[in-house]
Amino acid sequence: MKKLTFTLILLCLMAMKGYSQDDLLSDLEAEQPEGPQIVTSTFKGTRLINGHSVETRKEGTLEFMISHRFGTLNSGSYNFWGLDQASIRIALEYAVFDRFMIGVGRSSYQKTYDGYLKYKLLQQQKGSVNMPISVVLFSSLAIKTLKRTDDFPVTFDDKLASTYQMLIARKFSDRLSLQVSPTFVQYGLIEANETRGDVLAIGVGGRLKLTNRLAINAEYFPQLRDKGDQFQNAFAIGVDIETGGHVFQLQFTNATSMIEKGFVGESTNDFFDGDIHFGFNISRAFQLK
Amino acid sequence: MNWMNKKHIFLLLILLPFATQAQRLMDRHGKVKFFSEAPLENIEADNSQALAALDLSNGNVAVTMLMKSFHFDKSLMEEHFNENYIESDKFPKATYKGVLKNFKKENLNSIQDSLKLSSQGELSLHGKTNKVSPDVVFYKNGNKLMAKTQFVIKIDDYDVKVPKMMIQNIAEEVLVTAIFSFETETN
Repeated sequence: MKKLTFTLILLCLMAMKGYSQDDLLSDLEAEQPEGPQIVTSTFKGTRLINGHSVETRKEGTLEFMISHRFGTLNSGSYNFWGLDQASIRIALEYAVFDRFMIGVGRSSYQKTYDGYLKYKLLQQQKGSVNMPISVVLFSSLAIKTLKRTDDFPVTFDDKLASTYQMLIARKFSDRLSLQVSPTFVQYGLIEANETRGDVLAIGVGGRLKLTNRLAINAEYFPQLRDKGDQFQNAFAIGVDIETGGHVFQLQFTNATSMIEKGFVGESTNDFFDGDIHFGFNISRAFQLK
Repeated sequence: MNWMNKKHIFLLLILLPFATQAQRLMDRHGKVKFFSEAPLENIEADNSQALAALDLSNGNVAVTMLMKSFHFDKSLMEEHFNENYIESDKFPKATYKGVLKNFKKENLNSIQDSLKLSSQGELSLHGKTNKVSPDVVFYKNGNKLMAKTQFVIKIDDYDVKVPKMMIQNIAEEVLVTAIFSFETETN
């Protein structure tokens, strides 16, 4: 009998503890549903540096983007170390849905127009749904409109280049995000040596966040082909600075072009020879709906 | 004390905690919004998934919400709110734990128009906790007991840092409004 009494008192005390007044907040927090948590802001911008990142903008966001590369640093004082020259791309990029973006742009390099489609297939998540990576499918079409000075016969198809990419990224921590970007570019003509060819490259890149508003990025696109002496792999290193509605990216790169078909397969400058372009990307976002 | 009496006491003891629980009102879809006016732009966000509880036996209140459940019209603003200012990955929740002064359950049941009570408690946000004393207005809406509160917080008190170049965009004071709706059995 005594044993029973003791057990009952114990049970009562335990029950009381669970409903103690002081724990109103902790009881309430226990009620909070544990849903899937989307891992946001793997990178700051829709570009890592030259290439696209796995970021897409939220539905209804229109981004006006200006990308700019000066001439090479080793071009001497007469050219003010490259600042006299400029290669520029202006673009409008729009998020049709949260995971789907379209964009059109015009590059001064070879007077090229480009358009792209970008779709986020998988979104990194934790919590009740575990998805370790984000995957984005990207394709773009570019048309070169620069007039030729020779009478080399060029068809419309020769002026086109299409790019297909699968961007795979993971935000490992608040600070570190890494991305692998297998890239396939199909060219009409490659300008420099005028041989037809396709290029396969495996881009790698990442960001290291230093503060909430400052990050360092690096990106490299090694090509899986015999590219000869003429072509170089695109390399870039830069910083992201975030200010309100802008993301401001400053970089050093050996690529002159700011679209895939240009920097992946047509870069001829050697970064480690000093053929380095200083440049920046600026974007301004407008919420249309 | 004979055995029968003991049995009754035990029963009472066992049931007591459940009785206390029944004294609690809860809202799982509380609405919290904040608004701030700065020279360049207004900042406004809504959260409709706040949890709130009111203990009718003693006037204790508790509120908790996930910072990522705040939604902004401008998606980039939402991203910056989570990423740069509130740091939602590090500090996912905001909570309030307090007590209503001069609280009597009977007064709630006999509300004609509205009943204003002041509360005193602690607001935790962005890893910082401060004492606050917001007033709460109770009123009836059909079968529901509604509770509304509005107060101003200074972002500096919660260690939310604004870079100098953004001073034009972000106000130092933020107006917080919350409305909770509790199902009552009384009507």
